[in-house]
Amino acid sequence: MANEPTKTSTPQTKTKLVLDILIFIVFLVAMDPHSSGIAIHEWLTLASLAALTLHLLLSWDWIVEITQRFFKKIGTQTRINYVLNWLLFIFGTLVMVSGILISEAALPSLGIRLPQGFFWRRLHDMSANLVLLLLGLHTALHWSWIVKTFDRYIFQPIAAKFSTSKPKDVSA
Amino acid sequence: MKTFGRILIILTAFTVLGGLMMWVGNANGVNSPSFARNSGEAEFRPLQGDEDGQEGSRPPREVGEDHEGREGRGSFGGRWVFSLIKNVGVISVLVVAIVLPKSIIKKKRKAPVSPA
Ligand code: HEM
Repeated sequence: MANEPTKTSTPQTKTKLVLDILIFIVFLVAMDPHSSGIAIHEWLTLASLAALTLHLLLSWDWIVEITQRFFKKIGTQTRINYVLNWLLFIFGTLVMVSGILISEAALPSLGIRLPQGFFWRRLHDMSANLVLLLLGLHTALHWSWIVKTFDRYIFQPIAAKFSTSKPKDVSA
Repeated sequence: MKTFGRILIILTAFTVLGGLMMWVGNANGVNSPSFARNSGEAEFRPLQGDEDGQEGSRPPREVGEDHEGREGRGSFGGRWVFSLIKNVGVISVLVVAIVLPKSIIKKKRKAPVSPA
């Protein structure tokens, strides 16, 4: 993660990368329920709660450290990043909650039927679009981490497979 | 144990925040099927759709609103590609709009200052 004050171990970075790619793909699928079908949309996003929880667990040290130092001296970008992450959490929660309240497949299959309100449907759509924008900003702020990690764990190993020369050291 | 405690904190934050949102939404009466602010107001939409005639059941989808994609807006094949391009496009635009100026500023700062 960009601005991360604590250095994460290499295997954790790899886990983070795989997890983030997975979350990104799930989000893109979730953004188009008309193509995936509503049942896949609902079960996939509900299951992604586990991946999102793991994503937060892997960034736990950063969250705690910046929470403690927020009103002390920290960089502007770190401060913006922190606020943005909270907004992402708040609106992500709103997407999930409004989705659960308008559920057409998951909840009914569990025998739960809620009155369908237009308000929550509108809110679900609006908050999903807002999360898309926030995710764009989140991605932008972590761009150097994404480039570095992709290079280290994806591009370099692939290049090493095809090159006849000695592979580059990727452990740094 | 430490991890379990952290998971509990995350789930509690999610539940409290979600509960608060539901409470605020429902307290204003905006979740009534008619979107009426006053619960005493008449329902503008006739009850339909649900087998047991439950109030507030979802209105039937309009033509072209099928979520299974069979009769979706546009063809199924083209639709998801369009959606993918749109969503990835939005993210890409934001990334370029932030990363590019940042790297230009960084390069300018790094460039040696010409002697006066
Ligand atoms: C990452 C989480 C989620 C995202 C990004 C997301 C996004 C979306 C989007 C973009 C739509 C289309 C809205 C429209 O057509 O106007 C939608 C519709 C829908 N979503 Fe989600 N959603 C998420 C989670 C959920 C969850 C957890 C549920 C339920 C368990 C759910 C249930 C629904 C339903 C029933 C619809 C159809 C609403 C309608 O027909 O107007 N969603 N969602």
